[in-house]
Amino acid sequence: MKKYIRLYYYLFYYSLLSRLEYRMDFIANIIRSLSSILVGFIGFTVIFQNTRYLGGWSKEEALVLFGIFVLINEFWYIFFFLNLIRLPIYIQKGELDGLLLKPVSIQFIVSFRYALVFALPNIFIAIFMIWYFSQVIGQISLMKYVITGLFILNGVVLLYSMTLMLVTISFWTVRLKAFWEFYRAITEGARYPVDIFKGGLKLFFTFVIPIAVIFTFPAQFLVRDLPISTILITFLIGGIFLFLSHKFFYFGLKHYNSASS
Amino acid sequence: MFSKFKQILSLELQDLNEYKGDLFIYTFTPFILTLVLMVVWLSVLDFSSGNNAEKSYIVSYFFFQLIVARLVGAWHAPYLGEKIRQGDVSKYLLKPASFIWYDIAENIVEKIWKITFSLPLYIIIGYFLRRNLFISWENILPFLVSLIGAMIIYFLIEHLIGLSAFWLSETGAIDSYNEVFFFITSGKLFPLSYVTKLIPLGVINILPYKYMLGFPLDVLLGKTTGQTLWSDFGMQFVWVVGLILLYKVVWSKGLQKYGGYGG
Repeated sequence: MKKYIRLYYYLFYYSLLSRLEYRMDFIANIIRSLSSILVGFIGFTVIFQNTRYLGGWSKEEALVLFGIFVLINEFWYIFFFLNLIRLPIYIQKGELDGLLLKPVSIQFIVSFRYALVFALPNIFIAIFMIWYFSQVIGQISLMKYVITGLFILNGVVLLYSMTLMLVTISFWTVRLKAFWEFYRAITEGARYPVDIFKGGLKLFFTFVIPIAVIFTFPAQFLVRDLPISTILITFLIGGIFLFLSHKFFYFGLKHYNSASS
Repeated sequence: MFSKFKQILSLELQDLNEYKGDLFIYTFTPFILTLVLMVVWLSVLDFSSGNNAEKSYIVSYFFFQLIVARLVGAWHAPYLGEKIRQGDVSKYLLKPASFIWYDIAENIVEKIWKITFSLPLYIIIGYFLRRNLFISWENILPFLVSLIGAMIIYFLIEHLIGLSAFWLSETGAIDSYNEVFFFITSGKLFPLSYVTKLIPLGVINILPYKYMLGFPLDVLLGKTTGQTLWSDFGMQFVWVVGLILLYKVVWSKGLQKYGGYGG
């Protein structure tokens, strides 16, 4: 475990260094990721100038949710995006061979090799948003923040597991751009409370693509409360998905035929 | 001129077949985003003074946005920037038609492709929403004119961002600024009548973004009529002419700057 933490430290450090080499590019990319928060924030401002409640959520509550949405999403982008998007390329070009030879877990190196450092400022903004708007709603105990943190971690794990399973499919098919675009489009809806969807759509976003479990539940817990059973089920789902994705990844790996010499 | 352009069009169509898969995806995902926005704004109406006319407006606004956004869109700035940086522009300078026409042709072909393949989805979604869909038939002619204006403005702004690669090694930041303004002041995220508490109407009216999406939509739905219609048309025309002139200047200055390295 200690070895992996040290290894990750170095991997992260090199990602940062290699990006800093192109300074203008670095700044441009940071601006780009900041602008997505800005647009989202303005979007909510306009919505709440026209209504007091969105699906039963007040402005502050919705902004706590938006903060949690940004935080989970950005964590996923920092740690996993550049890696998971490369798996189909590794497979296609036979580069996986080289990685298989490395003396670490193949799932670790496939998942953590590169870090997308541009999203770091967004993490701080998101944490500030969650803290600020939850304080406006009312006094919240430290314990609650800690559990919310665990919820957020659980959300990142869930998102990682789901997307790992998606890219694992590329052991059988080659092209996978479709899934990324699809992922982006789906999470686009996740910044809003799941309660705005009705009937079939709500069920879809709760059970089929569990954006409610990943994004809405943590916010709901922080600003209101959740029954203890829901909390337990949420963490259970996280664990199950992590286990399944791990199994599925190694199952896919068995189907890997090296493409290089 | 036209026969040359037709030739370019057919070449672009052949190119397109090569990356059908990608286009397929880019065709369908915007539906999700726009439909989510429709749901969001419908749920806003549930709690404020929502009446049926307003509901129909929201449904029609986002439904027709799906189509209009397709028709006006342009997305070639990164590719154009890459061509400039790689020195590929030289190749086009030798060809019989001016450089910009290749991008125009590509744009038109991709739009036709996207619209054609989206047709079944438009019909299905339209069928589900049919009770709330309306358009203002007497405004159809002004709508078509405003649509063409919107296409030209959208294309030229995208093209100018691409051309900035003559001077900048990285155009991503400009692109992001442009996107932020577009999202907020074009009517993409919300009909523009909802945003005026945050951003004064005067500002929105001066910026080009309204004339790229929100204006044609509100003409189609009969929200923009009479005096406003004419003043908006005037402003759209000013932007079209201004951007064409700006393009001419930037293109010729850019070519002077351009080194044309590479084969």
